[in-house]
Amino acid sequence: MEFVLRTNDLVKKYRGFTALNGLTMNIPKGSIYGFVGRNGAGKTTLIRLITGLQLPTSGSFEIYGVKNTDKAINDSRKRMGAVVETPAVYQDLTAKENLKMQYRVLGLPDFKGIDELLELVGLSDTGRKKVKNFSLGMKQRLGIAVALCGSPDFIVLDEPVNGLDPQGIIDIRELILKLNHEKNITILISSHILEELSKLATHYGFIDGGKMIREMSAEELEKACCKSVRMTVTDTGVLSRVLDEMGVDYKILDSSTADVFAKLNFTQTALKLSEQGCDVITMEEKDESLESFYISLVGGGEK
Amino acid sequence: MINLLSAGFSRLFRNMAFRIGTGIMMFLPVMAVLLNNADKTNPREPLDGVYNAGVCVVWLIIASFVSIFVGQDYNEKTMHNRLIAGHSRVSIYLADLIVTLTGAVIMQAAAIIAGSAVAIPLFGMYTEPVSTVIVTQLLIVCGMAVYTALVLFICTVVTTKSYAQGISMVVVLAMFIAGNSVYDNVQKLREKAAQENIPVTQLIPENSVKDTMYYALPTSQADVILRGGLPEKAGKMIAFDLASAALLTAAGMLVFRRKDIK
Repeated sequence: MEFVLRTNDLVKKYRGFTALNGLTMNIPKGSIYGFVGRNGAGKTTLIRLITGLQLPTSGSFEIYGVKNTDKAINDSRKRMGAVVETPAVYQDLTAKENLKMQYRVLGLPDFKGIDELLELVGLSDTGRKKVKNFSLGMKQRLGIAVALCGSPDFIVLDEPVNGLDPQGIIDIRELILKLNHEKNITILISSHILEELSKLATHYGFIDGGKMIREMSAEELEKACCKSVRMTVTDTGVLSRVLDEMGVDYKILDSSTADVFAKLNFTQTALKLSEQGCDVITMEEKDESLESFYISLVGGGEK
Repeated sequence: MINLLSAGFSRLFRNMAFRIGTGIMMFLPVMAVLLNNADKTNPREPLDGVYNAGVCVVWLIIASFVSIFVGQDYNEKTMHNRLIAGHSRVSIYLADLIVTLTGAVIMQAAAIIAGSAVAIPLFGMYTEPVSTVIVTQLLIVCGMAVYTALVLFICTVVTTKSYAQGISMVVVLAMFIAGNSVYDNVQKLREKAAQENIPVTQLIPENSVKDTMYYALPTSQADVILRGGLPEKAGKMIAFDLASAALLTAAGMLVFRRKDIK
């Protein structure tokens, strides 16, 4: 497997505080890597190190196989874009002017591609509107557009949906999927919103206390998490009989509700229940399992 | 480096602090000319060096302009974009220094043009030798380099824009007060030496603290420039300025190379 980023025993200490405590992680090429951890776990610190904003206290990392101590690391960084915490944009410039500025910083020969970038992030109609008058979602999308200048093949997004409204979250999610699927860009997303990450990530890294607790693919996570379907029916007695026949694990919660721990064929199940005089009122896939898995990894409560 | 300069200059001309600073630098010589013109008792002689009127406040303008210009990069986190783009920290620091110093030089050039545009038609062409103008302008640019390097250093150490601006103002104000008092003190001692007919060096020994401050502080240099004529020991002043600017830049780069950017 080819890796875009590999870190080896990374340590970052601030005065009397260890933010990263020997972190080792591997981001496969072409993946959407969900970097999960509670606030203060060390997610942003790692991003600051790999983007060159800060220097590690010890340990090392490689971007496209180039070690951080190597002079060529600056060339490797040219292949990546990042939005660290908040979008890095000039508030008194327009969206187009901001992209032109980044084109100049990158030394690109002309401004070709700026309109396409604005189109891609849905900001092509902002005209002369200055960034300071943008909504948070628009700023976030502009930040991503700035990160996309120079056609990088690795993008780092630090908490990209923080503070966004539901529509803004959907927009960013669709944009991330588009970048990954259509442009084959490897994406590292840090977040503590597990539900959101589960809709995107192909790989996960769980971090706590500055250490990598576990790395796994989405398939591995799905297997590890026991996904459940909450069913509300008119008769849980009939439901338990049908589920027993199907050889499926379940838990009856009350006279009308049960959690089923398997992927069900909804139509077949509803038909079988109906044949025995039991109606299905609701069926809802539950996502808490990812949270439960995360809690089981890092332990509950505040640290 | 060229990419950074291109982006920096593009930003410079859109920067409000730069525009306001240039406006003030243009306004002061024009004001000085118009006041001279209104004063009917003044002989209508060419107003040599009137375009340097902005030098008395340039320290304040540079402190404000540089801290806002550089501070914006930290405040709006656009410094990230330059670092992630793979530019070395030394290049970023030097590019900031070159862009802001050029901005300061443009301000002084604008002051010369605006002052001359009003002074020459009203009072006639300047009479001072070109060599004096060149030496004076060179000294002004070197003094500006010291202010710019100093404020850039402060902005590197203190990355919060408002704090950096406040600290820069306080530091240059302290320099202004020190420079003025040293200048006044030296002038008094020189007058005293002239009255008592003794060598000045008897009262102000060469290379003493006072003597050094007189020539080294850009604020006391500004007083010398505003007095008019060819500044005495201009070479020594320029050497002090260049050494100070180089020292401050080296210190700033050292801090910036190891700095954790948030």
